[in-house]
Amino acid sequence: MIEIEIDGKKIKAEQGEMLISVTDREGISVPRFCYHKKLSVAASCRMCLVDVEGAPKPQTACSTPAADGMKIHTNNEKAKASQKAVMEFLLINHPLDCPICDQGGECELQDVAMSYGSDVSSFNEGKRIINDKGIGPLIHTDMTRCIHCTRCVRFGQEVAGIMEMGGTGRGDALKIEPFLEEGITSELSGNMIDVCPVGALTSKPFRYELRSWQMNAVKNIARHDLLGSNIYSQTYKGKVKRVVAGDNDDVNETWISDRDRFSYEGINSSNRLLSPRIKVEGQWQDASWDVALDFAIRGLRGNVLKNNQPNQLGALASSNATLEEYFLLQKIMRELGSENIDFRLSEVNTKDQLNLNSNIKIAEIEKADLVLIVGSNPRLEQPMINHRIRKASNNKAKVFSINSKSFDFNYQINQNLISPSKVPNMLASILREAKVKSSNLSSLTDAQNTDETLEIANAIKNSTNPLIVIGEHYKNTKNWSSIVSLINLLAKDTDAGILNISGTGNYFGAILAEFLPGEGGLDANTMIDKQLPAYMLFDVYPSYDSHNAENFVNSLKSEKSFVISFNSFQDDLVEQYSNVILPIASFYETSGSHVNCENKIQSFAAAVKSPGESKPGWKVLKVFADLLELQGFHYTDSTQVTNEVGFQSAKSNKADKEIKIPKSNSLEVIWQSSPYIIDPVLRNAEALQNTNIGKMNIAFMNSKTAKKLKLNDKSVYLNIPVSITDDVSDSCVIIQTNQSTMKRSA
Amino acid sequence: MISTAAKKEIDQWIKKYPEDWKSSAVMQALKIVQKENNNFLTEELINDVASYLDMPPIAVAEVATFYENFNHKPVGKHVIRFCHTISCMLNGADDLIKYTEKKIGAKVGEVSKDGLVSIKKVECLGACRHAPMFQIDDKYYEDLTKEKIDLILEDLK
Amino acid sequence: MIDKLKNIFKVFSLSELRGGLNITAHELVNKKITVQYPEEKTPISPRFRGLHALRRYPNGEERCIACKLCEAVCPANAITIESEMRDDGTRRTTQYDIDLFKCIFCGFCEEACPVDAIVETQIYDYAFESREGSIITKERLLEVGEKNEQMINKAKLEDSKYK
Repeated sequence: MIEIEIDGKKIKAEQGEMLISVTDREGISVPRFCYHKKLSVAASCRMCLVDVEGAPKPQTACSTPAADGMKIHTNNEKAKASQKAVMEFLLINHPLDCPICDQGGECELQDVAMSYGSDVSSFNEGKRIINDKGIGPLIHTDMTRCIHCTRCVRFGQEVAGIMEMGGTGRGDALKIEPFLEEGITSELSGNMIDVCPVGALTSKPFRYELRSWQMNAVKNIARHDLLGSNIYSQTYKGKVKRVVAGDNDDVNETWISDRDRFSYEGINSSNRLLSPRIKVEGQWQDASWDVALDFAIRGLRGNVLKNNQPNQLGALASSNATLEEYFLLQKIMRELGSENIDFRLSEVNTKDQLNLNSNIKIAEIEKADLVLIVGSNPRLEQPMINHRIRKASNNKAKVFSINSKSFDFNYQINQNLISPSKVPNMLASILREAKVKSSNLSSLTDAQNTDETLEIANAIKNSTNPLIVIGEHYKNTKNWSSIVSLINLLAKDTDAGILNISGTGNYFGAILAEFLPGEGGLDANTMIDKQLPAYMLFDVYPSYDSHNAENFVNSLKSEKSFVISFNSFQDDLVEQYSNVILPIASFYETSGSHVNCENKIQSFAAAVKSPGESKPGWKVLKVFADLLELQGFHYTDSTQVTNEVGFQSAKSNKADKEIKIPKSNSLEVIWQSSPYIIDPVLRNAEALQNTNIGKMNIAFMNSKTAKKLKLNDKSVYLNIPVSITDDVSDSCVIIQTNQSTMKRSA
Repeated sequence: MISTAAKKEIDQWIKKYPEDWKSSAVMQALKIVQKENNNFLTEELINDVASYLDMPPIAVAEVATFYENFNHKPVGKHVIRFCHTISCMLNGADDLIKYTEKKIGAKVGEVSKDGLVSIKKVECLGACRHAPMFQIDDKYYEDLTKEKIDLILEDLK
Repeated sequence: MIDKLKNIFKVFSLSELRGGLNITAHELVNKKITVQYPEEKTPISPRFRGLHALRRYPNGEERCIACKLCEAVCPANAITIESEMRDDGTRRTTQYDIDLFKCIFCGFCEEACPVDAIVETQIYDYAFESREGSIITKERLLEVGEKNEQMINKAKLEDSKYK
């Protein structure tokens, strides 16, 4: 600790800390454009000039380290004069179009010009104009407004991990632009809008709609991924109009993914379900809540409760509900006496309950010195977790991946390509070679070593803080339980951290609320195959939530099943099999909680009222329970439910299943949904669907597999266009698609 | 496409820098591929250099557009790089540029009809005490006057 | 005592009556200042703040760019604006309503407007036949602007030397 003097005030500071972070901490205002606390220092805008005693010229506060006894003036004549001069210089080429600029009202340049600028410019020459070329469906550019702070360039280099923006030309011809035709493709690109201090980069879907001062900002939690990024939903007249990032260093720092930022468009879509609907004699008709609820209860009573067969009732949910909704629905089911509860609709293997809990905090990921990624492309699936792994990699951590296709990682990584059926063998051999406690398990003796396994095993042995990340790719393959068990053993014996990112949305919320079959209960797949007489489906859209929509719909369509659906969007398939559809609130419209992959419960309030007749899901479930005359549902507030869920400690891992190491190398098809179709809100968000990620629909295979399947580059496999590339392992087809699961069987 | 000969030459330069610092060779690499492509760079060549040096294409484009010795349009056999930064400007560079344009029958950024010369405005070439000046190929011509320019252009033919 | 005598004299000499008649006689021959409203109107200042109008450019393009500064500055919250991107990519209003019951005719909207689109004209004699009529929409505002462009221009010109 040293002592410096700023504007006559003695202040403690760290040796070498930049002056601007000291002034920020002390609340002394220093204007700036290029400095951003999460980006490197560029010192290119020169706006933060302060007078340092002893220095002949003013110094930039963002790049001057504090030293003992330093005396700084932030607003004496010298500092003020230089700030004014820099402001005038920056405004030379900046157009005076604040009235039509979307940044107007929340513009750093505007604010600083008001407080530090002058109203007259000595520059009389012509202004520079830049012709914009589009850079994608999410960001609108007005590069004439750019002041070359290079925050967006540095964001791309340092955070997004791909340098897409850059400064071409020099002097007054300097232009900030992407070089490639496709513009900006990063999955975190929306953050460039947040970091841009002027109106050069603005949100395209929001363009010209509202001024910043017209909206209310409500703190919220993004629910699309396993992170629960902190966000602000900005609302106007009962509609969410824009989403911007919130700050939380334990979760998302100051960044959010494009998925979290632009998904709000979906809830304003015309596709919303606005009124309860009942099916009478095969015809759908709108009904009031009273009628619809009565209809639903009578259906339940008639089909299962009257005959005293509560175990013939099944409850299914997607992984997008809130913690409270899961809890209430499972409570209703268990009060009624049914254990047929499950949310794992997208999983083929629901026989075993595998429960691999993460034992690492999100903020600690970057401290790992070795990361082993198994079956995941985190960049698309969990962009913000990928950002943390990237930070670990930047801190010199070694990163290995075991995948069946090589992916476009944005950090140094050692990618191992391996067929899905050989993954258990590889993990077993790593386990044995790492010479850990379980390495003498009899089932491991068959495992064969390769150079790659030795390398990974050695790296694990030599690391002090290893981390194993398990993703969703192998979830629906035959060997999933062996893979999970092996990873569990490996982590236990090497004291490695586990990060389970194999789910989506509120996956861990469902587990915490025990939305899983209890003793004697049926799992999701059995429930569907058995054609139960009654179902309650919460937020289920089989075309994307189920791993086999065709089977799902055919099974539930039967006359003898009475199906109650709780949905927030209209859906043809849901109408085909349901008897009553109750409209529930969607994202931003209900209060509730999200549980992220470190089991952190984050509660949020509703930002807007849900449209039409729809009501928050937890309220509907509460009334439903009351009508069924169940005890213990006297809730007036969703937080009472949250408190009842209790902050139970994370459950111990249930993964010690028998380990099988398959010898044969059978063909496996891995289906991977586009990250922009995983929930109904995203599917209705137009701008996201127009991005490259939203449009992806390709079946990848290598030439050997293609030959075996008699396919070429122009053919389609399971209705998906084929791409033959050699970065896919043998006997494996990886399908990245934005299509529904309707036609997934050959 | 970068030719094998060019690749070999670029590899020589890569060797001069520490491992993992391949990108340090970007200026030389651009120079080499430009020389092979009639003295100008195309978008495709920039992409090729980027992938050869494992750099983001925009990072190569930044370098290629910053330095005046990289051309992005076809150029003549000889390139006149006319300095128009402050010292030269004060000593009448702008007039001389106009004069030269008329003389060779091509504007700044264009190639003369016979393909012999093209003219380009560049930033300071560091010969301020002999302003105004220009550079043709690798040679500096200083203390320029209209008469002197006439003679120099005559010599090029 | 003296005051009392003065008063008596004043009363009996009918001086007040004569004074009054004097004025009457004067006014009988003087120029009249009464105007025959509504056929005639009194002159008003170019700064008079009456009914609002939205103006167009001479080429017919509406001036308003939906910056919403008038909405923000309005102390009575009388202005409601919705905006969007028009097909040609420019920023335009889809709705521009002024509630004349709320409006206090302060003229801040005119001050705030960066493109001189919203103005207060010198029209003050207007009436509504229904409550809804008090909300003056974009179409009507533009119509007022079109009809009275000359008057608006003249007033602006007259006032320009004092700005």
